[in-house]
Amino acid sequence: MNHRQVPRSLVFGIALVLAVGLPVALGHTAALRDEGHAGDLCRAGILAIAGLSLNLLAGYAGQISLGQMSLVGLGAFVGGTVITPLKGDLPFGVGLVVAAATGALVALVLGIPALRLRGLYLAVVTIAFAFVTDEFILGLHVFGGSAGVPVPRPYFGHTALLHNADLAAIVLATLVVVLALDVNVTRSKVGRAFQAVRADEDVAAAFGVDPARWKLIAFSLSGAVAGVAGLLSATVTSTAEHQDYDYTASLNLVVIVVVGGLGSRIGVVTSTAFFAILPHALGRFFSADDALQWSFMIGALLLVVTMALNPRGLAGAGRDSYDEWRARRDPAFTSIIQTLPDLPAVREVRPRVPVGRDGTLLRVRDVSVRFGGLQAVDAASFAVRHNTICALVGPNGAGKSTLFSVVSGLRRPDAGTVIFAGRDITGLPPARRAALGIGRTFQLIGLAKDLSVRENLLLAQHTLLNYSTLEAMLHAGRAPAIERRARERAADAIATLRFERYADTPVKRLSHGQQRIVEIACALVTGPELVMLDEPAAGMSPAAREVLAERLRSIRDELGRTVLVIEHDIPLVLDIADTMVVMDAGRVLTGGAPDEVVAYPEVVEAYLGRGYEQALAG
Amino acid sequence: MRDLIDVLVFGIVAGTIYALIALSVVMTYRGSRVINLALVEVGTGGLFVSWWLWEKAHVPYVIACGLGVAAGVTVGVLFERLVVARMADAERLAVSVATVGVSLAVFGIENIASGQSPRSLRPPVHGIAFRIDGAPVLGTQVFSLAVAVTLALLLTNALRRSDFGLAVLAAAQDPDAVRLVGAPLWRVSAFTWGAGCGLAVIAMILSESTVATFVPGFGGRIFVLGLIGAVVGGLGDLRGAVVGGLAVGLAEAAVNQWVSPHVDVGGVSTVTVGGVLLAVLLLRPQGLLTRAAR
Repeated sequence: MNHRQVPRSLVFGIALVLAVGLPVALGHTAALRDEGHAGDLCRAGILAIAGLSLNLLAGYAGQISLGQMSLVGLGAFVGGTVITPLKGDLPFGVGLVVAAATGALVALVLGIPALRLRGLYLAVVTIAFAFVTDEFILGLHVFGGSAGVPVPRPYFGHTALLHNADLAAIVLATLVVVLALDVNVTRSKVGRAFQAVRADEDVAAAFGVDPARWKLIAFSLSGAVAGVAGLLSATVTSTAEHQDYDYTASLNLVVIVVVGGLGSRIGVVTSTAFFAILPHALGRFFSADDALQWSFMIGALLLVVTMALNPRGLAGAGRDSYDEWRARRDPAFTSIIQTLPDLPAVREVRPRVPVGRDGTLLRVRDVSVRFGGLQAVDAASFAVRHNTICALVGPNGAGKSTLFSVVSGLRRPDAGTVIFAGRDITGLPPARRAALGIGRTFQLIGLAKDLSVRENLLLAQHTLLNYSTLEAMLHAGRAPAIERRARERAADAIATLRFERYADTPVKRLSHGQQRIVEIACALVTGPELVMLDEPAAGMSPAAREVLAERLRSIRDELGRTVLVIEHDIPLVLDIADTMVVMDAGRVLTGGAPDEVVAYPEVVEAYLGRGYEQALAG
Repeated sequence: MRDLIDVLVFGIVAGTIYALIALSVVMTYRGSRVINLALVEVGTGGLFVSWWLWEKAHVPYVIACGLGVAAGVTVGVLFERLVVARMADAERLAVSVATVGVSLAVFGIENIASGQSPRSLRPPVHGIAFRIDGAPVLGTQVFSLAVAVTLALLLTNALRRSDFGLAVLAAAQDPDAVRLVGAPLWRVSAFTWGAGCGLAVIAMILSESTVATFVPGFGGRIFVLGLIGAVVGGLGDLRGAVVGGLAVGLAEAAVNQWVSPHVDVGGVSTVTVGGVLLAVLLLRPQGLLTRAAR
């Protein structure tokens, strides 16, 4: 990583010193002596923290919440109750921890419906959550009913921090900590797992990312940050009042995050600053109340315009125009690839899977899958020997890709078993199978398209990165070293592919052929025992296909891996495959050595076509 | 007995308003697979227009209301043309988020124009219309019920009887089919957004007539309950929306009558309805009425 020379900890250390030092130092100067101005600074900082919490959830993990301020409010009320002299009377620090835990816990519960609901339905649930929180939870007697919770100022030693400038130091320091957390998350497997879930849950699972687990982690992380923002906010206003955290407040937070750019922390912070300053700027023309209304209006209109022009906000628009500028400057940027580059070598990054005595790596037994009225796979059985190339062929709709999904775990079969290396894996979720050593590509590209080539290659290594989420968030413990090794592997793969130029380009900007190559590289980078490729030669030039054949052979011969490939290019299949399995209408017609299989009349008729024998002869 | 009648009267009157909101949610959803989160605020905006015409310009009630509805329809159609049409390829959720902007913008305009002082647009009916077993039924309640039922019946039936209506119903299922039968897709889409917003204005006018005053943003709760009604009814089904809205109204009234007075906390009906929403979404995500597999 040549563009990150300065250590992260140093950068954030300096930022932390500035965040604390500047408000305290300026507290006695004209700029911040005014309690109102210092209060505005606090509120802006808190809004930025709340915005970052929503960005973690919606921007990275793709789970939109229209009730985020309710989580903030819960942090304010529960944290406030813990530290208020009337109730808990505990120190401010304890309150922050309790607020974070409350936010995390409630968000976790809110995340449970998200395991089954997507998109709009989840949005509806979060709206309902916002109203339930506003009208029911925050009105409970524990929280002082309609009067709210009075929240004391924190102490520093024996001095109460009565000045807003001192609070601003706390708020800004927290903002820096949250930003550091955000950076650590995005540059680790945690952020990549979030992004993979957002891009496509099936693709994520094939990379070994369990969507349910990571969604819940995203919810609780976001909730914890929101809870902290809540207690800070109640401390600044001196009372936790529920109208500060209602549905409209949540919508305003959505405006800030979306206009700044979903998925961009810089965008979110910039946008918060903009909306904090806007009412002051408008205050020259309107009364203070009207200026606030006008700034909401401007925000609302900006939201509409942003969504219509670029749903990823200002930051997204910036990124897109940068990519387009690069594409213009560099005509080769997205051209179709004519020749296949070298595929990355597989390093021995995981222990080899022991194979049973009979040498069978994969056995599919009597597998049936039914989609409504359609029998997609009908009692299919076949076996793949260790260290061979097996080709799955058959006409479109024969059930090949469905069978792939059964093996990789994305589709539960209605009947039958899948045995991998002597172990029944029929009941295992896809992420566990990926960890066992099954790698796959998809017929349509299976990559997280918003992530760069490098990030996809890192995402592909997800199951190997055995550092904890906490270590990732703190960028401590095992995380830095493991992450460094993963980055080396990704860099090697990129160098082998000669894709240096596109290394940090979002995959969606590449040509289809390039995406296919990246996808195959991702399937290989962890050295899976079984490499499953769904139509790898689709869209490749004849020259590239020849190289592909060579690469697949070397996966078998040099790396000792097993390849299961779906392919329509019969000459290619005949060239490379040790065994062939022919499917038609969900059934396995036959299997065996390619020259035997093609002699089989049913096969010739069902798939290869009548003219085939003449073609072969001629 | 008296209790039950109160619950039924309040439940049905509120329920028909939720049903109207649910209908407008479903209407837009069918046309573009988007939940218009601005519906109720646009509805309140239309109500403001009607109120201003009636109170300040002394326009007769019915005409003022008609113009308010027209204002709502205009906003809906404009939004469809200027934003939704441009976002044809965008994620559906992104379009829904864009409607949040409309909601906040209309809310802002109302606040700047009128502030938070309560306004009142009185319908030409008042007093107690009749009593059932001693329980009074207000004229405004009868009025609201009559208009809402007429509209709901008109919508759920009329759409099935015209080619254009069928195109509207088909649009959500298969836009290409609509193009094939010759109905221009953009007109169908614009219609669903305009009709959705227009319906919302009517719902807010009726709602205001039963609660007697309104301020900017007073419809938030109504929207959530209507939205829940729409989801409970299946979010794609006009009749389901009516049933869902009524069910939510009755559940709310029943809880307010029989549970809320006995517990020492507020918002119990909101919790109940939220629980129903969650249960339906997790157990029968296709809605109570819609058949499972299609």
